[in-house]
Amino acid sequence: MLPNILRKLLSLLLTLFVLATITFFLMHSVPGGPFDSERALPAAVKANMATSFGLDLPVWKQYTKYIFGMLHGDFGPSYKYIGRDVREMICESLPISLLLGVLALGWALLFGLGLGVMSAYKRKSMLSAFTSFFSVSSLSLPSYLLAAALVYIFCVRLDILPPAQWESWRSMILPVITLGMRPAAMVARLIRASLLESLQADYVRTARAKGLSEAVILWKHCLRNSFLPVLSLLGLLVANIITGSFVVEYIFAIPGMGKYFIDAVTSRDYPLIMGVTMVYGFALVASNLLVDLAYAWLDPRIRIV
Amino acid sequence: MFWKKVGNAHIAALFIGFITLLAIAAPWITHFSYSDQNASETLLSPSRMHWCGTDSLGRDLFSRLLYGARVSLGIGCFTALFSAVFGTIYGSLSAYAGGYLDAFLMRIGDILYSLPSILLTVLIMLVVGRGPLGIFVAIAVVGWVSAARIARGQVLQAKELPYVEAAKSLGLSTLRILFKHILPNILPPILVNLSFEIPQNILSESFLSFVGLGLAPPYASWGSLANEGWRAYRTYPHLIFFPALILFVTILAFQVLGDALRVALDPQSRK
Repeated sequence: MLPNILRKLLSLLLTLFVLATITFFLMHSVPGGPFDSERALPAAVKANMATSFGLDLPVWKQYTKYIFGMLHGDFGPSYKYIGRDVREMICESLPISLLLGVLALGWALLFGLGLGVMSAYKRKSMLSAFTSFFSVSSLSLPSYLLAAALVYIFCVRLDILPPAQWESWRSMILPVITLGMRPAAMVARLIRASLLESLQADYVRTARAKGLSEAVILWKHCLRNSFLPVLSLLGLLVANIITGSFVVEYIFAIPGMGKYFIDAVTSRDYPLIMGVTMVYGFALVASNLLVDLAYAWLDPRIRIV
Repeated sequence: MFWKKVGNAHIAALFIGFITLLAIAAPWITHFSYSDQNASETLLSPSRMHWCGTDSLGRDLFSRLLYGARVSLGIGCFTALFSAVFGTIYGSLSAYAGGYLDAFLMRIGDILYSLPSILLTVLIMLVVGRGPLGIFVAIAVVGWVSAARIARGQVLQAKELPYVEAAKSLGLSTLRILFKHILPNILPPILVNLSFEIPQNILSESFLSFVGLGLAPPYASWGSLANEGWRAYRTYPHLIFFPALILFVTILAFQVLGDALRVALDPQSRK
């Protein structure tokens, strides 16, 4: 078990290192510099700026400086917001994005679980048909359209929820629902399929023969076996939530990392782009690692070496 | 019942064919260009003249949607096709090579796969440029890995089967066995994967264009049209309604088709 964890940790570090390297060299091969603006700056000013940000050094020196800085949690200064550190900006926006993501994940798991179980329980019902329809259409609906529809209904028509910002719990409802809808559909679909499969198993027949009620069989016997597939889906869900958070933060004007990332890309703020990329990359890779470990912990068959 | 007989998948396939035809025939269907501005006819509601109304610069939304279909569908299909072909070749060669080379090749895929794909896509677009080529490269670079994994798994299984052994004992070359004998047999799962990649890529593109990181004007895609509509949807709902509708229905059609394909090609999943 322990060597396995160690190996996984090593591969996590390797992945992050590769990500840092790819990002760095991609950013350096972008045509045009960060200080190219509409107004042509005097050459001397440009040279001064390049020196103060260390852009006149050879590329390999910039690279080692960047990697070593990152090991110390230092992502360098922002190019666009003069005088601000990327680290400081991330520290400000990360908690907001994290809260949004965790809430959305929680809502997706709860909603998906409930919907999936109910539709497996009543197989030929309207609810089951609704779940199938819901999951297919949620998977086809871009999140910005869902957001637009929700804002239109709840903010414009009914006027009961604020359309943007991130202040009170009321302002969190719509972004969380929007962000969690797609993952919820994925969870519901998976749980339904895996419950339907395990309902055919021999142990379910035994449980029925013992005279257990269908609900007990479903909740106590089958659902446990369905948790493993859901767990393996978790990495995908996190990736989905990260992707979705760009749009959701953009639409609802939430001052999280996704919004900074879009800002940074449009204004070519390289240190900010790289910093945010690394944080997202870490979140994704770390959640994959956690899933692997939890998997091995829950299912002894996987616990080899 | 008619519905049961025809089946959702047929309707979905018909719809996709219809949209594709419209996209190809766009210049012959509408007599408005997608970029012609008309200052006297801005923000009109749908009418007989302008079927979907006009936008803030007086451009006909219907023709913009048709030309947008070229971009959205084109990018979705070509990136998926490229990813599938490249991934299949990569994965099957890797599986056939075996040993350290296989481990190394798949390690590259693993790393790419575990990175946040949307970030890589955006970064690559920055490098290649915000045109159709840029977005094609950006989506394709991260898209081929799943096809490669599937192909590798399938080839690893097929390698041990008697017909491959028979082909080997007949003295056929490795490449010939791989592409003439194994490949046709492992095609179904790859096709299913392809059919799910297409809507995924259409979504990715629309998503990038929506947040303003995708195609730059004057190109119109369904995502960028939705973005334009989003800015004024309270007063001019038709501007977001039509792009949203066509995007949703198209992706839905692809999903339904993919599902049907999966069930038809894989008897195991028939429930």
